Amino acid sequence: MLFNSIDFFIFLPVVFILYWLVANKNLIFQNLLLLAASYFFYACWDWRFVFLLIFSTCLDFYSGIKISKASNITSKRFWFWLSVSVNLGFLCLFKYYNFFASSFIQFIAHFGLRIDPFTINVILPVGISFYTFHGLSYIIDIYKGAIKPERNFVNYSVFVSFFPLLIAGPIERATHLLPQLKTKRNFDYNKSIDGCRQILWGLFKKIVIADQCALYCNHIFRDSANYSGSSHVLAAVLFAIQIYCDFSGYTDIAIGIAKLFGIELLRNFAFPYFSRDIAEFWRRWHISLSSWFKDYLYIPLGGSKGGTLQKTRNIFIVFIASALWHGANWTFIAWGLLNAIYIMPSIFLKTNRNNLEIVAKGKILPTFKETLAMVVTFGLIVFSWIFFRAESIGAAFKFISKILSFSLFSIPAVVPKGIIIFIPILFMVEWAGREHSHALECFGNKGPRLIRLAVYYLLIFVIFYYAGPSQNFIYFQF
Amino acid sequence: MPDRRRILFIFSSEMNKFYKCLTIFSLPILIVSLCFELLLREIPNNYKYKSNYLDENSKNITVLILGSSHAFAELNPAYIKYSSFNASNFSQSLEFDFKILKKYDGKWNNLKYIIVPVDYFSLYSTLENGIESWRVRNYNIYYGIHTSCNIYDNIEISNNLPANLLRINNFYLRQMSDITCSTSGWALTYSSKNKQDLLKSGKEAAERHSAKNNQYFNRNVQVLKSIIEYAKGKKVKIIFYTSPAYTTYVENLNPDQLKNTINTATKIANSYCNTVYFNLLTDSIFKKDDFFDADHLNEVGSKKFSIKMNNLIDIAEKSKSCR
Repeated sequence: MLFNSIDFFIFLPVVFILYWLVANKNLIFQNLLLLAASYFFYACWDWRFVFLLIFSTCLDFYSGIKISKASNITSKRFWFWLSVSVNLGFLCLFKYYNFFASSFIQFIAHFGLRIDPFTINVILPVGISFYTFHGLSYIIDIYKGAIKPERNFVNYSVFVSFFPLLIAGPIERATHLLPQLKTKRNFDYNKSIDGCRQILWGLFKKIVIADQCALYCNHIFRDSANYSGSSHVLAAVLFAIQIYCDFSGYTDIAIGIAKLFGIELLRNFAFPYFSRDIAEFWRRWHISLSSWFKDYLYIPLGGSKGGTLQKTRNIFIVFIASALWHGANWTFIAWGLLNAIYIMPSIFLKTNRNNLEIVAKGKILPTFKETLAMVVTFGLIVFSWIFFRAESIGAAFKFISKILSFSLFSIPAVVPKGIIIFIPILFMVEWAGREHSHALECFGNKGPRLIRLAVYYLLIFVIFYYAGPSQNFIYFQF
Repeated sequence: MPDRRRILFIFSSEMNKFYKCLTIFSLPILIVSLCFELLLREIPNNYKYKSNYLDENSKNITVLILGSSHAFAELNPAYIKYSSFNASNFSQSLEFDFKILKKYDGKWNNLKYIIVPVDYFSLYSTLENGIESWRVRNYNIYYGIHTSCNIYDNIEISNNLPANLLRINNFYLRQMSDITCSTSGWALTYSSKNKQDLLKSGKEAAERHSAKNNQYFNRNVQVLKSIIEYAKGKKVKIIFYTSPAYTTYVENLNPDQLKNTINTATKIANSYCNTVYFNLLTDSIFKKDDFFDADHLNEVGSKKFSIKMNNLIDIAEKSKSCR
C-alpha cells in the first residue's frame, strides 16, 4: 500500500476516524490501534514479513530490559551483542549476502579459482533498513545508559513500526518518539491542518515532479547510447531533482500523517539543494540517517578529533557505511567515496561548520557569493548522483564519458512540458519556505484565505492531472 | 443506541472544527469527481456497445469471435456467411474471452462456432498483469464481469486525468464518439490510410509480446481447455488460429515461445473432438499491403482473412465431429 495510492486514501481516514473517535479516550487504545494499523499496513505489502518485524521487535524489547537489568558487564554485553548481531544478521542476509557472495566469486576468479556458493533468491523485506536502525539505536542508547528501557511492549512496538515511518523513515530515536507514545495525544487543529498541508506538498513533489522526472531520466539512463551529451547532463540534473522530490516527498507525507495522529517525527530534509557546501548538504539531506551515523559511528570512532589519518579513516568509514546502508552495489560505494572526498577539505580546513544557518536568512535573495556556492555544491551533488543512479560502475563511467563528448553542445532531448513549468515553481516555493520546517508551512496563515484555497485546489488538480498508476518511492528499495 | 449528540460529544471542539473544515474543503473535489465519473460512464465506448449488443443479440449469434486486437482487426463479420459478432477487444486475454462466454451462458441459443486466436503471446500473458491492465475496469464497469475488487478497476476516474478530460471534451463538446468498431464489432481503427512503419512496429511488437517467463502458461492452457469443455457442453465447435503477421514481426519472435505456443495449440486441438487449429502466422496470401502494422491487418487484409475464415469454418465442420 503506497502513500500515493487510492487504497491508502481509504486506509488513512478509517484509521484517523477510529483513532480520534473510538480510541480517543485512552492511551492504550490509541497505541493498540496504531499498532494494529501499522501491522495491517505492512502486511498489505507482504504478510509473511510481519513475523520478521514482530521477531525483531520482541528481541530488541526483551534485550533492552535484560541489558538494563544485567548485574554484570558480561551479561550486559551478551544481550547487547545478541540484539545487534541478530538485527545486523537479518539485514546482511536479506540485503548483502548475494552481493558479497558474488563479489567474492569474482574476486577469487582472478586467481583462477572457481566456486559455486549457495546464493539466496529472496525479496528484500521493505523497510528492513529503517526498522533495524530504529531497534539498533534503542539498544545502543540503553547499553550506553542514555535511556531506560521501555517496559510497555505495545509502546515499543509502535515506536518500531508506526506506519508512516515504517517503510522509509525518518529513522526515529527512542528519546524522541517513545515519550510521545507514552503520553495521551490530544487533537490539535493547527497541527492537523499543517499535516494536511505537508501531505499535499509531499504528494505534489512525488507525483508531479519526481514521477515526471523519472520518465525522462529512465529513458536516458536505460538507453544512454542513443542520446546526446546535453541530454545526459539534463538527465543527471533531473535525477537529482527526482530523488529529492521522491524521498523528501515521501518524508513530507509521513511527517504530515504523523501530525494527524498528534505525533511529531524527526525532520529528514531541510532544503538540501540550497546548501553552500557539502558539509551543509549532509546536515540537510536525510538528516535522520546522517545523524544516526554521526551519533553511533562517527563520534564513537573519534569524530573529527585525532590526527589526519584518523580523521580521514572516520570520514571514509561513515560514508562507506552510509553507502552500504543504501544497498549492496559498487555504485553506492562509489557514490559514498565521492562524497567522502568532497567533504574532506572542509573537515581539514575546519570550515565544515561555516554554514549552519539557512542561506540568506531573513532576506529575499541570496548574494552572488551564496548563489555561486549553491550552484557549485549542487553541481558536485549532481555528479555524485550519477553513480547512485547507474546500474553499474561501468555504466556510470559511460554516462560521464557521454557528457564529455562533443554532443554536449547539442540541443537535449525534449523534456516533458510539466517539468519545465513545475520545477521552477518547486524551487520558488521551497525558497520562500526555507526558514520553516516544510515549504508550505509559512503559506498556512499568509495571504487572503481565498487565494490560499485556490492554490490548494490548484495543487490537487495538478496532482490528479499527473497521477498515473502509483509509482514506488525510490527509498522503498532500501 | 448512541444518539447524535453523544457522538458529537466524543469529538472535541478542535476536532469538530477540523472535520468541518475538511468536509467543506473536500466537498467540491468529491462533487467534481462524482460528476466526472457519471459523465465518463455515459460516453459510449466499444465495451459498452459490445456488452449491450450481446445482452440483446447473443441468442442470434452463430459465429462468435473472441480474442485480442489481432482478432479485433482481422475478422470482419460482414464477410462471414453466418450471423457473426466480433466480441474481441484490445489486449483481451483468454480469461476474459472465457468470462464473456460464461456471462451469456444460457443465451447462446444459435451459437455453432467460437473463433479464438491463439497468438504468440496468448499463453504467456494475462490482461491483469500486462501493461494494459487498466483495461480491466472496462469489463468490471461495462460488461459487469467482476474480476477485481481493486478500486482502480471499478471507477473511470482512476484513469489518468488528461485522458479523461480528452474523452469528455471529445464526446460532450466535439460530439465525437469513442466507439471505434462497426456494428458487428470489427475494429475501424486499423485503416490502410494510417499504415505504420512495418520494420519498427515489428520489432517493437515482438519485444512487447515476448514473455520474460512462463508463469501464466499453465493458467492459460487451463483456460483454453475450459473454453473447449464449455463449448463441447453446448455442442459448439472451437476454431483456434494463430494470426497472420508480417515478416518483420515473425523474424523477431522468440523461437521457443512461438514453438511452444504452436505445439500446445496443435496438441490441444488434436485432443478434443470439437476443436481445430490453424497456424496462419506466415500465410502467404497476406502481402505487405494487407498490413496496418507488422502484427495487425488493415481493412484489405481483414477482408481476405474474413473470407478465408469461411473456408476454415467449413473445414472445421467437415473434419471434426463429436459423437
